[in-house]
Amino acid sequence: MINDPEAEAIFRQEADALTESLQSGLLSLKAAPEDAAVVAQVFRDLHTLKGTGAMFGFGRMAEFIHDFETAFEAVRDGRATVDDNLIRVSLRAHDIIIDMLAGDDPDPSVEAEVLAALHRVQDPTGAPAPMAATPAPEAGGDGLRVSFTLPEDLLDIGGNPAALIAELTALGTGDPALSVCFEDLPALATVDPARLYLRWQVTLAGDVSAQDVEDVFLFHSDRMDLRIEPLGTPKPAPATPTPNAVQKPAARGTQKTPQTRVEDHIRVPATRLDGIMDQVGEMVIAEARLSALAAATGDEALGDVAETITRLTAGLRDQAMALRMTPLSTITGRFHRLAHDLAESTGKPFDLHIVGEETELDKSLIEKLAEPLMHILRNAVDHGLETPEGRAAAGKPARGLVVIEARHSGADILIGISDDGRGLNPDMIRERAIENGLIAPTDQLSRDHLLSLILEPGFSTATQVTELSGRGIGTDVVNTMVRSMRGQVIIDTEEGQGTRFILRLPLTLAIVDGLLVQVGPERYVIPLAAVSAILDMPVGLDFGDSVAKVLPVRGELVSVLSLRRTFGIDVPPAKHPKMILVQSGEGHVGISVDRIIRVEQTVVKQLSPLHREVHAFGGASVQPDGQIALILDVAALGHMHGRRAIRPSVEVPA
Amino acid sequence: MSKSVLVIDDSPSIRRMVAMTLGAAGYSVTEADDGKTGLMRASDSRFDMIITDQNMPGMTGLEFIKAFRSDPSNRGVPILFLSTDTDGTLKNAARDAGALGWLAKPFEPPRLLAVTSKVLGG
Repeated sequence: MINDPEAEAIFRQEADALTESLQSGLLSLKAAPEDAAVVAQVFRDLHTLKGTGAMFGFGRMAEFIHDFETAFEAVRDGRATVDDNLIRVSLRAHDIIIDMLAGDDPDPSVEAEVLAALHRVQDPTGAPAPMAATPAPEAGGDGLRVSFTLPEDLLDIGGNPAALIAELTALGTGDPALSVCFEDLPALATVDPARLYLRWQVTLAGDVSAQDVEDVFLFHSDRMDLRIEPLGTPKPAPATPTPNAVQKPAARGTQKTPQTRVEDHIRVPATRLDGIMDQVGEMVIAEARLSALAAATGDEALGDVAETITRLTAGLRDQAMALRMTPLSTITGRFHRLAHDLAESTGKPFDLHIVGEETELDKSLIEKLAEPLMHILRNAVDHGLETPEGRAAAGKPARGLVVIEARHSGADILIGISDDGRGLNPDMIRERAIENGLIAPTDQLSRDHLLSLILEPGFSTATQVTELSGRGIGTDVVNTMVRSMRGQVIIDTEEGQGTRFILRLPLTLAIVDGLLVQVGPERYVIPLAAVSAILDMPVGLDFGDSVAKVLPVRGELVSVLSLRRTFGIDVPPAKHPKMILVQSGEGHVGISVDRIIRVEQTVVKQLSPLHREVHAFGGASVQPDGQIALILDVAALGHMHGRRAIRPSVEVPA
Repeated sequence: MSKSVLVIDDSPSIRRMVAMTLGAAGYSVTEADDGKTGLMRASDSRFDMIITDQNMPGMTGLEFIKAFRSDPSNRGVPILFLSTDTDGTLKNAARDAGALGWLAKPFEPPRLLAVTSKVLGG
């Protein structure tokens, strides 16, 4: 058992993915009980979870899973069938696994009941189960003859030939037959005692696979001559021809045994993808440097190369990004489960439709997205949907409807969660906001702004805290989480008809299209997606000592920030400063800068943990000349200064 | 006496994971955070096995192996090479420089233990 938090974190991540996959498998079996691929997947998930669980100190969980796994083995082998009862029991078993992973002891009576139910699946009559059809052994049920040389320099590099041979001979049953061939031994005078010259031949009896043998020579396989042949008569011909000798010449890669299945997908640790992304990021920067250099020197040959590199880099970057893209369906399993549970606990039957599950977005976003989406789903059912009686009174069908819909929109993804419930009442929101001191009774707010108040901390429309929604996380947390992903939450509602939450998120956090601007000697990047317009600052406007001024811009009152003041850049302003009008929440904020340099695509480098608390920045960008430009977090800037701007209580200069 | 292992990696978390896993299994583990420090530790005492990362500031893992092997008295000390490289070029280079084997990153403790006991014997 491993007692390292780090190692445990790796295990937990894997366990989360497996339980998630298990649950989604079970839920899809409910709809399609005959799907053999899903049954196999459920079995595999359980098997892996059992194996790793045992290693990481979850022995009791592993034991529990064993029975669970056996039940699905029976299904896989056609000795049992999937029915509603099995799904229900399996979902409960899944929950017990989750509890065990969390370190909670499950209720013993529940556990016993679930185990008993799982037992009945594999053995409904109590009679011994017929033997499952076991797959044919990979090779050599009758034994193998292994002939090999070892790398000459094995002793120098710390290898132990005796240990390797002992490991190899231990694979067979009985006494192994070992013989040595001296034919490559040089004349005694030229023998180097530290070199290995001999060819060995070992006969292994019993059920040994070629893979077992290859595993013994793990590190050395491409520096040795290894030949593996089955012993005895070939078995009755199986459906697929099996080569009767797995011969392995020196300097070849590992040859898989014929039974090895070809997988359509390979599972790659996310850290590797991050590594690629990091390298690609560096490459994009280096490429920009090269292009700048080529342009500066005017060398035609260099320019050609730079152009090719630019094209290749762009392609590589796109491919690297695509590697990280994960369909939304990887997390929707838990939505179905939550919906199932919500309908039962609230007594509000409803259907959950998920549209656009195949929509892909960055893996890191997908993971962060699950919690806010589940929270909104809970809210929609808890506060949005009426009881069946309420719905009948409103002339609606008894079953409610919640739709989660995902689609791409340019470089963004839109995820809508809509319910056909009672909708939000702006007047009630207003009253509550005044009660909670979020707004003054005299404030005149636009409808959108009013609705967005429910995203503010400390706002709750629930008159009572329910078991499901009242877990201390408010809608404000949803808002904060979405904003931390450079996204925004939009609320749309029709009283009596329903509510729709729309999350707008960038497809990836790794790359941003930005407007590079300059203030004094400093450069900043403003994400282009947020930029609405670029205007000239009014002539002669002086910020004085204030950080922001409210100005009328295109018929709207806009709070305009001076970056010079905000970041304390102590140089005189430019003669003709520019104003970048950016979208922030439901309004606009202006940002006053000295000069606009260019539009560029930039790789986002995360700020160090020490700077994470500085909300004004979303990261940093390394410029082709090696300088750093900080990336402005427009939403955070707007939040700091902008929101109040549309209230008339702010003094407006003439 | 317990077998001694030197682990050279600039990542504290990897060093720690190796130290904890092998330490718990009864090996005595010495840590070094770069190749130069690794060479110093290795000249202070003879280790039963050395595990080194490739990408480190100053001296890379490959450079470490070459420098270490250039001293004939270091013959026979097995070196495991940590690599995230999947195409095998680096593995081959490490093998040419004198590494016994490799461990693909990321790896889990059971894998590390299995490879260690394979190299050092039960």
